[in-house]
Amino acid sequence: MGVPFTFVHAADLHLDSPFKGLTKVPAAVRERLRESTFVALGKLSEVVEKEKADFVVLAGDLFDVADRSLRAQLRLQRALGTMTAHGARVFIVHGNHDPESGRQARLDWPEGVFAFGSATVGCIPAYSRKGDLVAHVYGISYPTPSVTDNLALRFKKREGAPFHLALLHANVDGDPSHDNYAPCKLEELITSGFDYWALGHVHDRRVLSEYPHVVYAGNMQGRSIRETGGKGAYVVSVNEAGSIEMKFKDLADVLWREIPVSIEGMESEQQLKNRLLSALEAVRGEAGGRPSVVRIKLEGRGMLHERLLQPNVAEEWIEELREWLGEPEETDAWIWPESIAVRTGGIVRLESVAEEEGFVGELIRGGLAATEHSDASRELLDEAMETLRKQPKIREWLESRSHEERSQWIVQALELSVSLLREDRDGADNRS
Amino acid sequence: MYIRELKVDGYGALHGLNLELDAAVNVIYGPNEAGKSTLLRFVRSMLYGFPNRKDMVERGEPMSGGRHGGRIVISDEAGESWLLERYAERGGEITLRDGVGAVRVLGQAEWERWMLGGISERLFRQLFSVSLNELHELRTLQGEEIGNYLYNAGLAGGSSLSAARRQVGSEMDRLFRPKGTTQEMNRLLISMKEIETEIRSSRDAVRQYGEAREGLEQVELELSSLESGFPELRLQAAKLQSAYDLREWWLKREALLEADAGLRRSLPDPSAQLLAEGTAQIWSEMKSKRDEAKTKLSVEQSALQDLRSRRELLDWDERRVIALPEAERLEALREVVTAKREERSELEAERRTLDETVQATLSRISAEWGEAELQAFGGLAAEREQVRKLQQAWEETERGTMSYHAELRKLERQKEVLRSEESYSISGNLNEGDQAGSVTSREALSADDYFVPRTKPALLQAWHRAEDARRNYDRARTSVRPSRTTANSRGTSDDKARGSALLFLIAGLLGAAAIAIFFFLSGSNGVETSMAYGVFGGLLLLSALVVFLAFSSSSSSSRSGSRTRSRATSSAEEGQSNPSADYNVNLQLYRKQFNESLRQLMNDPQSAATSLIQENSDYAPLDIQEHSEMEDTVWQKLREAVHERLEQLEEVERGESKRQELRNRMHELQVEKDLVERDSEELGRQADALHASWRNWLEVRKLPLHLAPDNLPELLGMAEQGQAALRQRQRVTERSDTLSHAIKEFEQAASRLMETCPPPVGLGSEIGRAVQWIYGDSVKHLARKEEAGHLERELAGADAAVRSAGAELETAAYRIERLLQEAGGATEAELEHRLRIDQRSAEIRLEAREIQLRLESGRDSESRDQLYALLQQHDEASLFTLLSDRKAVLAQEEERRSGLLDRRGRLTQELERLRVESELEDKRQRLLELQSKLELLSERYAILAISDKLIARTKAVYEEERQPEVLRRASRYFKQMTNGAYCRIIAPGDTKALLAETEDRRVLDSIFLSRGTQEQLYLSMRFALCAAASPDHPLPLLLDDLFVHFDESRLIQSLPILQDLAKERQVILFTCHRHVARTIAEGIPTARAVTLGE
Repeated sequence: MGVPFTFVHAADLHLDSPFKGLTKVPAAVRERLRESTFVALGKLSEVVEKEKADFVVLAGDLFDVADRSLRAQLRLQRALGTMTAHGARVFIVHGNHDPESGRQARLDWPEGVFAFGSATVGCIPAYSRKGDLVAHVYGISYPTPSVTDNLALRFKKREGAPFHLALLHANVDGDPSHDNYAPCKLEELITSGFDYWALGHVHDRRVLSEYPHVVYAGNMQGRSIRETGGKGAYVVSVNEAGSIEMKFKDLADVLWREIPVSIEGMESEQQLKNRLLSALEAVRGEAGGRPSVVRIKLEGRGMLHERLLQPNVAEEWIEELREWLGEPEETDAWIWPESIAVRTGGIVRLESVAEEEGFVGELIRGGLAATEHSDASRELLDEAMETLRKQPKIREWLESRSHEERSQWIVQALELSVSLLREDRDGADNRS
Repeated sequence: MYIRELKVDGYGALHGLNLELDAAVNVIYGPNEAGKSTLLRFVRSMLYGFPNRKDMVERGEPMSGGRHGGRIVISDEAGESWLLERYAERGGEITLRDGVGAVRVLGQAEWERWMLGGISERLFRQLFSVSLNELHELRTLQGEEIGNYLYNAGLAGGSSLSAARRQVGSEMDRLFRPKGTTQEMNRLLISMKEIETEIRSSRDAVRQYGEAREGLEQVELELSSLESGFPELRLQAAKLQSAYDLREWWLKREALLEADAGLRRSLPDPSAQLLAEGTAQIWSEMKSKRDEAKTKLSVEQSALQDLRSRRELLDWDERRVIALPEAERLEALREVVTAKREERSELEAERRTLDETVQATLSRISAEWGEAELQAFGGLAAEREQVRKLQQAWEETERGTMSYHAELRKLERQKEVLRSEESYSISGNLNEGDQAGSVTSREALSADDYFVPRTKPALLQAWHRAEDARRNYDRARTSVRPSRTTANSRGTSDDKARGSALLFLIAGLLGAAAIAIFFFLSGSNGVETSMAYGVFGGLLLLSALVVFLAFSSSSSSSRSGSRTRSRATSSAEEGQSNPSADYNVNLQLYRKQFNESLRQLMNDPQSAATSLIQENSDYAPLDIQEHSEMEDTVWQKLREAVHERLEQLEEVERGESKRQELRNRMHELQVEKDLVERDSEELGRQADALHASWRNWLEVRKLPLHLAPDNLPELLGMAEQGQAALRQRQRVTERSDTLSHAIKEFEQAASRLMETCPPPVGLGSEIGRAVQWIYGDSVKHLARKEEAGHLERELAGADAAVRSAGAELETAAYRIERLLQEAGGATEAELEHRLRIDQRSAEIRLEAREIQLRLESGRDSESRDQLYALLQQHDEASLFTLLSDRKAVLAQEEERRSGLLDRRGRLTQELERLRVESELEDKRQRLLELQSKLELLSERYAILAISDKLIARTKAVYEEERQPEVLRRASRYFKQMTNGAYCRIIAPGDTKALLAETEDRRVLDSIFLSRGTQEQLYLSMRFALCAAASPDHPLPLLLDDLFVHFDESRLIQSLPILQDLAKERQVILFTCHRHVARTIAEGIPTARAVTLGE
């Protein structure tokens, strides 16, 4: 078919992205996290150099915000300079996080970097390091943060190259966990005649199709507890016959992990402590020398449940845990317990309480009924949070919660209510 | 529960009060201060305990004596009654006595649960023990407990519900309040807003960065263009400056050049070049050189004259000079000749002395000897050697003769020794061994009789053969024994045979052992050989004996034991079947062989055996055991005999070999003696020959014949002495001759010399002195001649010097001439004038050149030209103007540049600052962290809010379901009391207000009602709530003067309600109004009226 070549497919760099879900972070952790997207970028440069990639495609969301912080721009400029200095060209499209409409103050790209415009789908020939034409690279950037057109349909193959690579930031088949921008169908991509769709936007890497390849590279560094595990880029090798070999390179500098810990059968805090520590040590072992941010999800039913529901208890536990683990300044492979999500239940099951007559039974019946339907849970939440809804930030956040989260809250509220109402509260009598 | 009787011991103003309240409706009337309210409090305290001292009114410490506390009699609906006792001093402990007198002590909680239906003190006060104050509390429904209690059955009085809501509510309040600022979420929101503002304001960083960078580029551009213009500007300024600075010098140079031109004009040829530098010096040098040359010439000429006059004075005789070498030679010889003459006379005297010495020596040697003989006494060394050899041979011969004699004597002695030894050895052998078979020991002799072989090996061989044969025989016998024993086990012969076979075996073994021991011993320890022989022999004899015994007893002692044999044969024949015949043949054969071998061994086996065992022979016929033993003994003896014999044989062999050795030595001695004798004779002959040759030698030398060789050294010494004298005399003579000849030669030469150079008269006779004189004269002449030669050479040198001085003078003159020609053929005076002008000119020009160098150094031709142009075109003032203008321009440009540099520095700093700030920028992270925190708290808040909301909702449900009943009842009461003026009470779920609906459907908020009507509404609510609150344990209703604001008709209207209530529970009314008491008592016939304070 043609000359063999190698390219690197990365996406969603989200440079200088802030990290969600962190509170009371010590300087070492914050610093490491803040640098992590850049470290991942640096590792990407190393991969490009080591693999002798002929070119690099970056499928959008290079920056976290349209504003593109100066630091992010400076660092990216430098990294791209390194890549092009190694002889690799770089092709870029912009996505919903860094659309063209972003503020115009921006730095120039180094030579050998091609950013596609947003007006039409561009086509740029890509050459191997030896100078052979190896592919046509097509791409289009987002003009604005919100693009609801099907951009994929605008891609038209132009003959004259042995390989056709489409670079796009899009949501294929409407992934519900991501904003539905540039929506398109996998079927459309497959039948479009391109050899490789280098996609961005979805942060979990996935190969939707092979021959033609439709690939999300995922982001290069997890940014919140929702983006757990290894993150990185694909090194794609195309041989003479046109067969494609993909290697995933883990570039993440800091790992995000969510670990479930059951309180079932535990009777004392000491047991819980031991179990938490061993779970965290396991995480440390799996991290391979990298630091980890960990959310502990306490599950199961046990005696500790009611104690965990007390105000600030989870908070206290996380503080304790951080103390036990020691200062993150002391090691490079630190573990930062981000939070403890208490998803435990009392020994008594809510369902059985719901069977009871009386106030508590009535209460639980009502609550559980609200978890049945999305509308019901929303209504209950809205009603309960009447006062907070006046705060736009909180309202926005509340509205973006899913039914599952709401149901989870309702269940927790029920657990809390039961534990409160079940307590034997004889009147605090002042008579003797 | 009913209160039947109140017994106040001491409470407040009351003491020792007994009050019976056994009716359903009790009206207690009393004026003010009669103790009604105190009584009400007493009831509350009895039921719920005494408050602590903070509430002294309610506590009711007795003011007029009595024990603090009291008793009440209570009964339930069923009529069972208890006496309750409570005293403050007992800590509020309740003592309960039932009808039969059983006492129970209860705690408050237990008591409340048991008898009070879980109604709390607070609820009791609000619902059951009501004064006007409490009545109005209901208006705001502050006592939420009541509501809770109403809506929430089975929740322990509803307290936990409100506690839960309180807890939730307080936590929520901690988290957030709508208008709060200190709550956690409020604070977060404020901080977030601040950060957002900051972020908005810092968004321009990128633009600033871009602008700064652009500005920087612009500045760089300007700077570079500025920098490129600078060098030219500076150059120009520098040129002007230098022109200005150098103007003075330039002027000076111009003046110098002018002066030079003036000087040149004073010369005849102004255009003439300057004479070469140094011409003036050359000129003066030349002049001095010419003067020098003149002086030198005159000096040389006078020296030459002087030399010439000295030479003419010298004169000499040439002949004398020629004769000088001869005269010198003779003068040298003169002294020598005088010495030689003296030596010749000394030599003559010595010759005469030597002659005498020779004559004396000759006479001492021999009368017959003359000088000729002495001379002929050949080479003394050869003679002496000859004589020495002769003498030596003589001595050797004598010594040989003597040693031969000594040896002969020694041999004779040895022979004598041998002979005596031989005789001794022979006499020793007579005791120990035999010699050539002539002498033998007794045992050997007797052994000789037994054994055939005469030598040791033969005997051994025969013996071994005999042993082998015996073994064979023995084996042959034993090999068939088993068959025989099976055939028939009896038969003495068999036994015997067996026994003998055993004997043979033993004998064999013994023999073998003997041999083994022999070899062992002899092999291991040579010293003990004799002992080994003994043992060996013994064993051998023993075995021989055994053989013999076996032999004789078993079978073939044919000659002596036929009886035995026949018996054996017969028994064998008897007992043996056919196979035994074969055996017999075999046996026979072996026996024969055995016999044969024995015969070979012994001369007469039988007799030998007998003699060997003669002491044992009579045992032969003994029984088998003994017989076999005897056989062993015989064989052993035989073996011993054999071995003894072997030993003897060896002994004999040893003796023989020793004798042989002695004989050999004797023979050797004899031979040696003969040889010595022969040598001795030979030596005698040699001595004779020597004697003869000596005599002959003497004769030949005409020496006295009596001389022995011993005298010879002396003779030889004298001869030598003589000969030495002779040789000395010869040498002296020769020397004397030589001297005479030399003297003669000298005299002849001297006379010849005197002929050519006659000495002064008077000296001619004395050759020596004449020669001396001639020599001195000749030397003088020679000296004169040499001096003349020297002067002549000097003359030639002086002549040459004169010539060269002349040439020098000429050269100097020529060069002066040349110089003058060069200078234009002028005269010397003219030249000197020109030289002076030139020198001045040169000085001026040098100065001008220095100035020119100063002006032109470091400039190329172009800039030089420019400089001169400038200097020529501008006077000082205009130059200065030009210069200052240019300087001003330069300074301006410099200033601009420093401004730009400054700007560049600032921009670079700005860029750096932006870069650093951007690196430090973490507002978004902080914002997000706050956001995260806010979300966490919101989540918690949501959970709390949902929890609260769910409780509220459930409560609302309860209100929906339960409230109408209470309200219905309350409405009914209210309508009754108001005589239909109001028909309904409404309690909306969303507000705390209570509404009253009038007959004509108007709805009024209770707060707008008249006080009396308000109180009627609240009382209605209270009555209705009482019914709902304690359905299982109807508590007594204690109302403290609640009707004071009731008008008469409404009071009367209320009575049926009281009656109605009294059906369910006891009603106790306190009033201070007599009409009220009367109205009630009249309206309710069953009511019991009690009057206090009377």
